[in-house]
Amino acid sequence: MGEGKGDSESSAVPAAAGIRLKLNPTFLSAAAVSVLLIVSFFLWTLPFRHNELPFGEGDSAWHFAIGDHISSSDRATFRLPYYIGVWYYGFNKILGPFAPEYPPSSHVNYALMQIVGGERFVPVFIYRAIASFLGALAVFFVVSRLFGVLPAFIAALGLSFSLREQLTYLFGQQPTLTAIIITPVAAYAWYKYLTSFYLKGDNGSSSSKEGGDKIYIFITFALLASQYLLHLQGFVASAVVIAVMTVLFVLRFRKIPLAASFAVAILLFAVVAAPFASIYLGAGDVVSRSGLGRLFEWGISPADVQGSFPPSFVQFLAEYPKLLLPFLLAGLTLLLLRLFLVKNNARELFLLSWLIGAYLATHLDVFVPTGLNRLARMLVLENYIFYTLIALTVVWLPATLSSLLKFNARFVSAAKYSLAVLLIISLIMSSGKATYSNLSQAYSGIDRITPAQADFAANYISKLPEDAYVFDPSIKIVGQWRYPKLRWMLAISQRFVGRYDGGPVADADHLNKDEVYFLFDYSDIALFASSPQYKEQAAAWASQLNQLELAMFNGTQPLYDANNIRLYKYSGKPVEAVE
Amino acid sequence: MTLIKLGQVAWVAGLVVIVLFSFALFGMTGARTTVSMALLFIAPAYFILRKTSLDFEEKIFFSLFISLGLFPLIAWSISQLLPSFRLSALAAFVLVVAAGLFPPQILARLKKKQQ
Repeated sequence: MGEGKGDSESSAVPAAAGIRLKLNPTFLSAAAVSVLLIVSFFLWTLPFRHNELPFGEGDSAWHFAIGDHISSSDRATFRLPYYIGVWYYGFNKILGPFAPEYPPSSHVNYALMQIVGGERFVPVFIYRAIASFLGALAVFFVVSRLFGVLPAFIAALGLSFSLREQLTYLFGQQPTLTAIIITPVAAYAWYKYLTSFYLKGDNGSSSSKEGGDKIYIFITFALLASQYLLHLQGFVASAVVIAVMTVLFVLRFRKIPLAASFAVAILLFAVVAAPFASIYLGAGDVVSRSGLGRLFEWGISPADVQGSFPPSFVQFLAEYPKLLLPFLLAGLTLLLLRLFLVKNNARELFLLSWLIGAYLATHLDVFVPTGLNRLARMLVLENYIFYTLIALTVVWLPATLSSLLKFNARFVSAAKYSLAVLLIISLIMSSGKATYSNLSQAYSGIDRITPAQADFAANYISKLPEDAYVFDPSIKIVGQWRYPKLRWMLAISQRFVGRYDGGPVADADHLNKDEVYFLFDYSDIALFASSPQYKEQAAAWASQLNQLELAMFNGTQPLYDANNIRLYKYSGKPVEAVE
Repeated sequence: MTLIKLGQVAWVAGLVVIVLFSFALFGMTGARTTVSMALLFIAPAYFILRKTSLDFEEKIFFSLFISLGLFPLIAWSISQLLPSFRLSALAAFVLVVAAGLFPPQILARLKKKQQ
């Protein structure tokens, strides 16, 4: 570990006989990271360990499809291919049809993984898993450098069991999550610049340069650029935290941290960001601002994210087991106390910025028009700071009690490690167990594309013309759970497959009327029917779908008929008759 | 061996453990993917940061988080000029590593010429 961070406890552990065994902090840090990586890798790869077929919601298939197209075509163009471009056709008001929704970084990473991994799905899923639990490592890095390895390890362990991050990962909102993960690191880089400017190093003792250590300005802007290229939400989150931190440090030290290097860093950032600005500026979300009343709520209510996330995504107690709440409360209280009691409180100001930044980032809907279903993803920021405060209680509580009640050092050390063991065991027994259960069962049932559907997409739909438009009318009958499977059929076949809810077929200008197909997939219903519990429901669904099929294609020979899946070419028969 | 080098060995050992673990779970695909992630997302930026005043851990973590967004951008940008994405990714890797390794030499040559 570098200079100026971490309490001495990070480099010393008590031996049984009271002898203090000195450990090299770098070894300790590397060992802790290795343990975290192994635990997280083991858990987060569970969803595809025994079933390598793709999983996730529509977003997941969307991101995969773009990366998959780049690697399979060996081309990375600015425009989307037909089968992906008609998905959110005309979403971007500036760039028009077939415009990308995001800068290319995330999708290029998917393509790179396919190329280097030598397979279509598993390397991308490994990337998805790692890029999702990296938040734990980002927090470990920041907390270990500022407060020591022990609280860093506990905070990171808590985060590797975080339900909110697991759900974002499973659903496949990968660019957002990977971008937000970088926020603690960007905040740390900016903190290092500020402390080098104001304090000649964060502990006031390291060597410093006049006007601050410029390397951290460039690192901060490089991290911001990285976030901007992955997802705007990550960039905004960092910008908010950094702005809050700057204001707090200016108020604390009464001097504005200006340096000529800013101009160069901003210019470099602009060069990277400008070509993709129209992607974000042209995005077609139509939303309005929330009322000021939202400022008096900490989180987001389940009703606000209905349809996008399950209630557990935003529910406080689903994320933090009850046993952690006293630690969180103690952590918040001790942070406030230390802000007033500690003379060199730069690290506490850093945490306060993070806390206020997380609050502001999750309440942006009050200040700018933002959809709460998108903003909910920012709640991951709350996890980072709350798990950090929970973990810091282990260090701060004994130290504070000791200074107030004059305990001896051995007692403080014993209390600290006892609390640490208690917290680690609590985390493993509550969130850890739940994580194993959640991730090993995720997409293990009907909600994941089946081998028959994947085979049909890969070996039949993929042979249709490139502008083929395959409609699936089953969602209106069986429900929304089937929607992601359609999108995975799209991604696998590299042909458009979308839902059909009735009405005229050939209204859209981007639709080639000669290449419209209808898919009648009874394979999921057949699986339902095999369970006595759903037998009646399955029969009703099959009957409804069959009525539609007969009304539209009675007497027509299907192009494909196998495994309870049939595909017809649409001949232009009016569909109103069968609605 | 200095303490810093020993620290670096600890990190490399950690990486080897992860690669072996991913090999145990996913075979060669797992090992190839994790090794490649380290190569693509840490190594190139690390070469650029290695001469800075940052310490070893900072170099590793900053490299990783900067490269996640910026390395693919470089590969994508080059692919607008080259006919193959694979070739572009390789060119991006070589370019970034070269930029990390050679600027001091180029600067030295420029200084020599000026003298």
